[in-house]
Amino acid sequence: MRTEAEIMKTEPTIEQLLRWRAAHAEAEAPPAPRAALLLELARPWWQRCPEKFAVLVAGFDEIQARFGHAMETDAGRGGSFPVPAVISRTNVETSLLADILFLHFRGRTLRLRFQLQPMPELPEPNLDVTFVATDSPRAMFSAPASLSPGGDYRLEIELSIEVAQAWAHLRVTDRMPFRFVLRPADEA
Amino acid sequence: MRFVWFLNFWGWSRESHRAGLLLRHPLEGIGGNWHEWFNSEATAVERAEIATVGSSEDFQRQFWEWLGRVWIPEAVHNDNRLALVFVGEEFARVAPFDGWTAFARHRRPFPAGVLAAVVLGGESEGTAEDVRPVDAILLPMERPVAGRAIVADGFRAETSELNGARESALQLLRGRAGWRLLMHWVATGRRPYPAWLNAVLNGGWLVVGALIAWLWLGPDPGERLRAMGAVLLGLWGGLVLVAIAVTGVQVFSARRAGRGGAEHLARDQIRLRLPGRFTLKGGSAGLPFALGILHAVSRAYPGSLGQSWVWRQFSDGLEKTDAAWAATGMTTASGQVQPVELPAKLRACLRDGKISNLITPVQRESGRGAVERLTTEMAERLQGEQATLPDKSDSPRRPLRIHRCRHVADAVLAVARLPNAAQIGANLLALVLSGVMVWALPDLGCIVFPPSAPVVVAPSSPSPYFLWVSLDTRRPDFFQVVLDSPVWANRRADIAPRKSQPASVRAEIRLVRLSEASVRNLEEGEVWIERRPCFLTRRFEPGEIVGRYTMNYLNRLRHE
Repeated sequence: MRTEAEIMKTEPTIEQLLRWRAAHAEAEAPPAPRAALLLELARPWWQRCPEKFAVLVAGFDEIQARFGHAMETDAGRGGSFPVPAVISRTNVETSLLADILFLHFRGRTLRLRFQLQPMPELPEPNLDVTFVATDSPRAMFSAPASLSPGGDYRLEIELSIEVAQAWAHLRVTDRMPFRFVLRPADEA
Repeated sequence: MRFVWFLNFWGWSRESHRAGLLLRHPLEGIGGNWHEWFNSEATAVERAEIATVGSSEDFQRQFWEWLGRVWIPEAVHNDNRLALVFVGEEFARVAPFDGWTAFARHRRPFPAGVLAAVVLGGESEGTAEDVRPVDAILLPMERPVAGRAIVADGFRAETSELNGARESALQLLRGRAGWRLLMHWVATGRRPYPAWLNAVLNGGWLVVGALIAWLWLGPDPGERLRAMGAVLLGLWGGLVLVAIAVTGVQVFSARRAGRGGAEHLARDQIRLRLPGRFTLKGGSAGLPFALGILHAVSRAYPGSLGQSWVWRQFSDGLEKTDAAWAATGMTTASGQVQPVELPAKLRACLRDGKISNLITPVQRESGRGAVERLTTEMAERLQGEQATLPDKSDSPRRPLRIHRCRHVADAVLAVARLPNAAQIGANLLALVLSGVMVWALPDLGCIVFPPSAPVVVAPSSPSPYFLWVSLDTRRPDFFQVVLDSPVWANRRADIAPRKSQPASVRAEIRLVRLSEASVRNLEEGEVWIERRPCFLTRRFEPGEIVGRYTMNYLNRLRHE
């Protein structure tokens, strides 16, 4: 058994401790991802999981069947055309509509607020919103949206010049050229 | 100007709405709009000014007062008193107001309602949580927004289900349902009199009844007949006038107030709130929603419905602290209340313990026997539960009183506590006595204003065995004829219209010769015409003699 004096003699310096910790960290760290994996991760989710995206886009047809009347007439929705939306949770897809409450461009930056109808009983605090074109099952871009205290979602995104120019004259009462695929941020 | 930043925000909201960037009316989405403006549009100077106001509780309070005194009247262009409440609640949820002390009282999770809806959750068999306070707010809009006239705030519901409540409230304010409400009040409702006046008026009706009974069945009043008739006529006329004037004024003011309230209701947005996030299925909350909407109208515009005593009773009835109201029932657009699944809702109210009045549709389960059985069963069950669970309620349990209603109008009357047994009795008495008075009015008129004395006219009797006394009067029943002759037997005869030719209003006296009379002059004798007042089926003793004719004169009149 070592005496107390011997223990005191072996006290490491701060530098030694740091080296020892760095050596351990290197040994326990996972291997660096390969370039192919990094490229794969950099691709948007609809390209990584095209089957899932196709299933979600097919959900828009169900919306057309369920809410077709509400989507075609603006009288029942306060003078607006609601946007079809599909919420994708783990193994569950829910179809609903989104009212565009606010839409504003500053340069190429789009600021958008929307409210889901009917509002989910437990709304997600953060959503990943994928914009899908109305004329084809084509994902355009995605943006994070956060739940505001009033129960609506708010997002801000810089668009490409072409899209910004095409949408610059949109008003909240217009028929929107996009549909939403919504995914909870923690599952995205 | 310390609050110019707020005017900048409001201007931005209005312009954005006008330009089609904002969907909803700036007031409707004011919380979200502020969130957007504050986070993306406000300049550094504006943020600094906001921070300055927020740094002091006095400044915050000044801002709140300024909102109510200056901004709201300009923003909503009417005197809606709930708009500021709504703005306060919206702002209390967003930064930086969510940290301001002046907005703390608006930060409550749900405003305490004066009326509860019994909405069963999921598979619930009736728990205290199913009794949910209803809160309704009227939000002034510059013009009606299609599809947004009524919205569910916080819970989910089909607009069509909510529209039924709005339509029935509108019907009650300006439609046929409103007439139903007022006619029910006229028939059964207490009046806006002070107690002493009520006693005087009821006493008056009793005096009218006593006078009628005396004149009809009592001792002959003799000389006092005319005075009694005048008192009866005057008293009855006065009472009827008071009753018609009071009910007429109240009905008129209630209709006018109702139309005013309906104009606001048709233009404003109704926001219905129930605590908790859930999906409302079925229309059983239609009745509490309709009542909540009516209460919201009176709260938002006290100058409209508040003008009417009847409508004021409704608001006061709901706001009384000693009565907690709950309601359940489906409503149609016309205001009819339709049956719902009731036993579980009764159980919920009994478990809640604070509800003292429950408005239900008229259905078998809301009958007295069924409710008593359920109450007994629940009391036993609750005793068992309380033995094992600590009692969380801080107030004593109240007995539950059931108000069965076929129509929303009945529910309004019940809440206003207008139905009154004493008034129903007084109304019935007044109705019966007035019926008798209308029947007796011609007689009474003749007693108080006696008809002029009639004159004897042709024809006279063509037969020597009869004496005809024809009179030119429209009230033959008010006179009688007396034959006084030493030759012929004295007779009294009634006067009546005779249709046998020649037709006339006359008395026909059969002449019976006295055996001891001499034959020297068969026309010796006189005919008197007397007044004989009558009242309903009673004829009083003969009174004043108003005519005297000789038989000789009568027999000389022409026969046709």
